[in-house]
Amino acid sequence: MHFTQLKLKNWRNFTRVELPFRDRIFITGPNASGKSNLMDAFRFLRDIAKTGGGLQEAVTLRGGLAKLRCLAARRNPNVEIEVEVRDGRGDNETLWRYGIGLKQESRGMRRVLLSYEKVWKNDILILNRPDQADESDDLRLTETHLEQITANREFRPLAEAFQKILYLHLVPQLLKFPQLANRDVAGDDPFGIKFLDRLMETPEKTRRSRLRKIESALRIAVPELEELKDVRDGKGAPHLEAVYQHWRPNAGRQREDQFSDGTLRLIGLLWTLLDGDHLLLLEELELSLHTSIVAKLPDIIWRMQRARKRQVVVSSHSIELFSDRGIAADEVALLKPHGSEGTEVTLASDKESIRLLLQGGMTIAEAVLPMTAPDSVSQLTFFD
Amino acid sequence: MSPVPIHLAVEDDLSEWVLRRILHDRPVSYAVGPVFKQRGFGYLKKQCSAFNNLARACPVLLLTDLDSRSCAPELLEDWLDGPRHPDFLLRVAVR
Repeated sequence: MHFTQLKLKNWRNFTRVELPFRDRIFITGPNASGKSNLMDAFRFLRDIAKTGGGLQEAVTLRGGLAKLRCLAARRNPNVEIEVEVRDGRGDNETLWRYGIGLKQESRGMRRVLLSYEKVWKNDILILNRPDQADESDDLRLTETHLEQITANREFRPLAEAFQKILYLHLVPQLLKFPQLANRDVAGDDPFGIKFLDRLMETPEKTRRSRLRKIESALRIAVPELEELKDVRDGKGAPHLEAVYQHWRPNAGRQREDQFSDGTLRLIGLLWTLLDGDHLLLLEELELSLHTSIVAKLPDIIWRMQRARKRQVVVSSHSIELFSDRGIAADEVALLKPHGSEGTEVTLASDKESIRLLLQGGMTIAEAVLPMTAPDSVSQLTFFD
Repeated sequence: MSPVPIHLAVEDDLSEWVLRRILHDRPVSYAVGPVFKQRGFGYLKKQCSAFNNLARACPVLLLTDLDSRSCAPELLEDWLDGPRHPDFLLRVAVR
C-alpha cells in the first residue's frame, strides 16, 4: 500500500495542506516549522487504527483537541485529516480515501466528537458518517469505525495499512542500554528499545540474510568492518557482534554496547528498511552520522526500499543529504512558517524560484535549503 | 505600496548586512527573501547562472568584491556565460 496524498486542515502548525506523495518524500524546513507534526498526522491515524488504540486515546495522547488544532485557525473550526492510499498496481489497483473531521463540544463534557468520517473505495463513498444511527446516539461519534473490527470490515485493508505505519527515531543510547527506558510504555518502540528483541525474533534464515545485506551497506560507512552477526550471551540475551580488522586475531570483536552511536543508528535504520513493507517515517535521519555517510543515505535508502517497495518519509535539514543528485524536486516537501498564519507546505517542484535555480545548475540542497531559513525581514528593524 | 521581494547572494554575514543596510536606506521598501550565502566568492561565481535564471522570477542582488582582478567589467564578463537578466543586480565592490 502506498500513500499518494495527504490533506490536512487546521492540524497543528498547518491551516491547510495538500501534499502528493511519491515513493519517498524528504521533508525539510526550519526548526519548529512542523516537520514532526506533519509526520504526526500519519502516526495519529495509526494510533486510531492500532489494536488497543482508538480516537479518544489518540487525541488524549496528544494533550487534547486544543493542542491539535492549529493556532492560526480562526474561531474553533474542525480539525481534518484525509489520506489517499493506493493498493496494488494496474488492473488490480484499488484507490482508497479516508477522511475524518474532529470537533469539540463547546459546553458540557466538552467531548471530542467526529464531525465526519468518510471512506471512498475507487471514488465510491462506502462510509458516510454521521449517519442516522449517529444522529440518534451521539456517543457513537466518540469512536471511529476505523478502530472497530465490527465496523471496518468493508475497508479492513486500509485499517491494516494505518496500523502498520512505523515511526522511527532511533536513540543509540537506548539501543545500547535498553534498561534505561521503561520497556512497558515503549509501545510501538520508535526509539529502538526492543530493536534487538525484534531482530532475534526474526526467523534465522531471514535474519542472517538481512544482516549480510546490512553488513555490505555498512562497509561503505565503516570500511574496517569484516563481519556483522547475531549472537546470544550465556543468559540467552540477544546481541549483535561486529568483527573488525585488527592485527591481533580475535581482538577486533565488539558487541552493540561498544558500537559507535552512528554505527548503531545505521544498523537500526537499515534493518527497519528491510523489515516490513508499510509506510516508514524516519525522523532527523542524519543524527550521529558522519556527513560523508549522510550524503550516501538517499542512495542506500533507495537500494534497500527498492527490494521491499517500502514507502519512506524522511525529515532532515542536512545539506549533505539533500546534495544527492538522485533526489527529485517533487520528492522534497518544503515547510515555510509564516508567523501567526501557520506553516505552508509545498513541493519543491511547485516553486518557480526553485525550478529556475535547478535549471541554472544548482543541486536540491543548494536551491532548497536557503529557502527554509526563517524570514529575515524583521531583522531590518535592527537598524532603526 | 507593498514591499518589493528580493533575493540576496553574498560571500559572508558582513556583505549580507551591508546589502540589508543599503536596501533599508532606499526610499522603496524591500522584503528580503532567501539569502544565498556560503563562504567565499567561489560559490557565487559557480552559481552565477542559477542566480541569473532565478532573476526571471524575482530580483536577485549579488555582492562580491574585485579580489585580485583589476576591473569590475572583466569580472562580470568572466562570471556570466550568457546575457544578464535585467533583474539580476550584480554589484562589485571596487578598491
